[in-house]
Amino acid sequence: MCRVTNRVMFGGIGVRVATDVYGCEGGTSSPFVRGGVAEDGQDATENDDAGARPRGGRAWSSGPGPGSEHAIEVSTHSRHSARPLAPTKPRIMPAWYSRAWHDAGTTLETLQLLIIGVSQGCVYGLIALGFVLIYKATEMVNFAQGDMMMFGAFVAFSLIDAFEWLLPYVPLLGDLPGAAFAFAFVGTLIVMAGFGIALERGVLRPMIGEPPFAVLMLTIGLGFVLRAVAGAIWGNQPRALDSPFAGGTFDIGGLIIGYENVAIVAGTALLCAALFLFFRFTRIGVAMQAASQNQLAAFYVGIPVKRVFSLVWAISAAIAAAAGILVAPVTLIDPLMGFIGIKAFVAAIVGGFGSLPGAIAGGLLIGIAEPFVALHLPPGLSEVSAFVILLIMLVVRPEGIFATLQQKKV
Amino acid sequence: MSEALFEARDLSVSFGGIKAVRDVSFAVHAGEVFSIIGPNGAGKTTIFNLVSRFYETESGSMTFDGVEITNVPPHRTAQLGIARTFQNTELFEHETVLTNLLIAHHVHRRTNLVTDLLFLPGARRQELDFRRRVEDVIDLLDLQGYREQPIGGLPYGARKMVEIARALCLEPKLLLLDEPSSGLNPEETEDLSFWIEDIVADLGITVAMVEHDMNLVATVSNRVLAMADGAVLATGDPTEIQNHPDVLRAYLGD
Amino acid sequence: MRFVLKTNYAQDVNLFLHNGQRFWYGLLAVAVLLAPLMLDTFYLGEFAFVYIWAIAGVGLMILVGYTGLVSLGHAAFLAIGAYAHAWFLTQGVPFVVSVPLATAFCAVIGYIVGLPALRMTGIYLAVATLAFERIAAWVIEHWESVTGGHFGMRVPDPTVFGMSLDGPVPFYYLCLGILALSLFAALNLLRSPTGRAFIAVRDSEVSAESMGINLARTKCTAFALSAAFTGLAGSLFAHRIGYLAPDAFTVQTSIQLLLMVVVGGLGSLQGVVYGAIFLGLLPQAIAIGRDVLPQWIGEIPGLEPGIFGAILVLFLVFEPLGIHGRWVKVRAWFDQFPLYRRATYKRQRSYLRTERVR
Repeated sequence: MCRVTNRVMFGGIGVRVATDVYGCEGGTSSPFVRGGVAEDGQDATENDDAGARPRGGRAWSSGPGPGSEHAIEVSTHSRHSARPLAPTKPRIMPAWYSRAWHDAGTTLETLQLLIIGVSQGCVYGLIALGFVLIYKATEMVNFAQGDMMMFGAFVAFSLIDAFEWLLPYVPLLGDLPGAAFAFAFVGTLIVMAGFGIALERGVLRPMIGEPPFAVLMLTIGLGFVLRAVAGAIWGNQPRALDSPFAGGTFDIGGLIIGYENVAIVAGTALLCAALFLFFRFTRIGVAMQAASQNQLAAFYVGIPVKRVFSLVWAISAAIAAAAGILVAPVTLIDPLMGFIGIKAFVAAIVGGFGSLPGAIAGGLLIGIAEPFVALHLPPGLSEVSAFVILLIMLVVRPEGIFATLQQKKV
Repeated sequence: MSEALFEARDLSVSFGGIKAVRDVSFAVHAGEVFSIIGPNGAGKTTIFNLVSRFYETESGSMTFDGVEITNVPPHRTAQLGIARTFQNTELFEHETVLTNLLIAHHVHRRTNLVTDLLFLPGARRQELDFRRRVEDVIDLLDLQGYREQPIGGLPYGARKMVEIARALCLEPKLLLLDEPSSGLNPEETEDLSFWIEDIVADLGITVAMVEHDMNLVATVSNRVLAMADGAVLATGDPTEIQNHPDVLRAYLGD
Repeated sequence: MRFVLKTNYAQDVNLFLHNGQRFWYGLLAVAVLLAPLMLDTFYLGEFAFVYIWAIAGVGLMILVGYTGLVSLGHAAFLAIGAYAHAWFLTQGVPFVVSVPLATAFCAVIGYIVGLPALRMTGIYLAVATLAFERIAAWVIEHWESVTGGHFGMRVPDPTVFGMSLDGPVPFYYLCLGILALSLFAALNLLRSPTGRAFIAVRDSEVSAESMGINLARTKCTAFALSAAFTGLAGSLFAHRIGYLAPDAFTVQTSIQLLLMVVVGGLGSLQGVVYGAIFLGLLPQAIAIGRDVLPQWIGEIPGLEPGIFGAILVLFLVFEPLGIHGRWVKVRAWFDQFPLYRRATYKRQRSYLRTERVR
């Protein structure tokens, strides 16, 4: 099992979430190659820990293979943000954060952390939304949700390329700033919705009526396959999405907010509103409820259960894709970026699996907790803070923030 | 009649503001067949769920065989000697009839984890003993044909019988039957009435049942409790209850 | 088809149903015992690995296949077993004491993990165990004085009464022996009340309770036992890889373990062995396939997990009962030829009726 590092990039700093890819080089031995890959001593590769306790430039390098390219790729990217040598900041700190860090008081600092947390939380929330939607309608747990996000981001990457090549030939649209991105965004949602339908039709429909555990395993398997397919098509190098939201910042009285964070929060709010309206004002929402309560009964009263399921998969694939595009300027895109799906999953559970507002609430809770934990608690703890929150939640209030479960009747 | 084997005093429970059971008191005497009747939603099954401790009682108390069981955990009731069946059969679907019945012997186990893991001679002796006792119940209820079959493939009537057999394997003092005749055809129901009589007469087990089939109730019951809307209407022998004005009103309307 | 006439109760209790089974399992025993004479060192090592997976699989099967509790965190028990064993060895504890100690330690941890698990079912439990695994990994990574942190720790060679078991042949026999014992213990469990209590909890908690089974204790016991077997496998695993580092045990490892029991066939101990063979030997098969296939296919990153995933998907869609289930059907086909009916194994679909009541 060799180690390939998966960076979650926040505002230009490579943050490496160490993830292990099962036997990516075929062998089962564990290479323990690691060493200072950190070029020019930057924190690009060493910031898996809180800055308060720098850990002496230790960085994970992967074993032989694509991982080493990763590391270099990461460092190059981090140079984009042209930061001076700054003390290492907690992970998930954006580039501009270090500046704010030095001259900010506690309130400002708290606000700053809050903004980072909220935007990260929205990403978790969006992915969690996909989990919950599918669960609500079909009582299936789609563990591949994070990988669908990854896939969506890659699709967007390719579509942006395609539109950037295509649009200059189109009159009027050629000069419009961000047109390629906008077209690609819509295109991605459509492509991914289709992809969701295809998945449901091809793989998940035969599983209707199987125990939930089997479906869970199936989607775990699907995740593996998606990662391999993405790797085969786009390669393992991380890619940057050409997004109009990347890089820029607002400065409000010392409080510095990245465009991408605003985009994430606004995008999440828009999507949530759209979903709310959709379920509130269309009959399909009611049909979904019915189908989730009793498939056979719903079918008998004329609800097109199969079509409802396809639709739900389409919607959650599209939401995942949107999350992927929104988060892409913050992280980079690579086949392993879907691993944050695990935390999103935790968020969904914390929110009370089966509740849509709960998904967002859970995502925000975990997203906000992370930067604060990173700053104030022992190094590396922010990595697991989501899981600690989950365990506390499960012990204290096992039904989640918004309860939807009840005991079986006999 | 001897003293009460089971006694409930002023049981109450409510779900979401609706009183499902209101101040219900009754006693089941050793050696009798005690039936609870009432229209749907009267709270009959709820009483069984209170007795087997799946629901928490809000007020009132229950004693069984001289032991206060109002607050014991559910598995404890089985250990004390209360067995039950379920309205919509709750069997161990993936296992054979034999295994289902063997599971019921759990309350009589004398082995522990270590002896089980090593299958020491004591564990083997216990296994043989369990199996002998299971065969007795299989013989009693004529289940030989289904012995090795998984539950999943059994017809509904057979499942009902297997569930009763499983409850008997607990070798209980009190057997709670939740609508034993629902889903059975008239012949099976008739067989059932004989079996219930056998269970009481031969095995010395007291039976309390919730039942809709008045014929069955009238045939086997010694005493009947009629309920409506969570409250007791009347208690008495079957003919008494069948002619009780309150009961008639509950069933037939005014 | 063979019909067994049962004349006494012991026949149901015995491990082998009839002499035919005794013969075939005997033959298998001879084959695995003589394997070191025929196989080269590399494949002996691989088979030892298969046995280790199988031991861990027995643990996971008890939990998932028999008790119906899904754990996405069993890599943690593997890791705890491995680290505990290695640490005991470095403290000078002899091998024969260290292995049981590590196993017992895992059992205790398993029991403790089982406690909060009592209130959860299904997906909640799966995610809680996942969380436990992540937290355990964090502890291992940061408890440097014991685990060596990121740098890992070397595992001392296994020696029993002054005899080194480090060579491929002794290690093969060590793993084989422990696997045999594990399977024997698991079989015993399943023909006695403890194992049946697990099954009862899996199929219907309500019913299990009304049969006098203490849900809490049964679930915790299942967790403890499962952790113990997995920890036992972990202690052997430590020797197999020789050097412990946090990245040897991840979520991916947990998923592989689950994959093993699912592909093998949930609810059967034979399935564990099939699954372990599958899991242990597939990387070899892929490595061989790489040489044969066009280069660009072989170079796809993440090819191996991808293939694992694809196989898992195919199994779940076409043969949810796993390799063991398929084998049972094939055997039935030959037994009943030409009368085999597909419908025999056709399961009735249970369409979803929600258990989330609003």
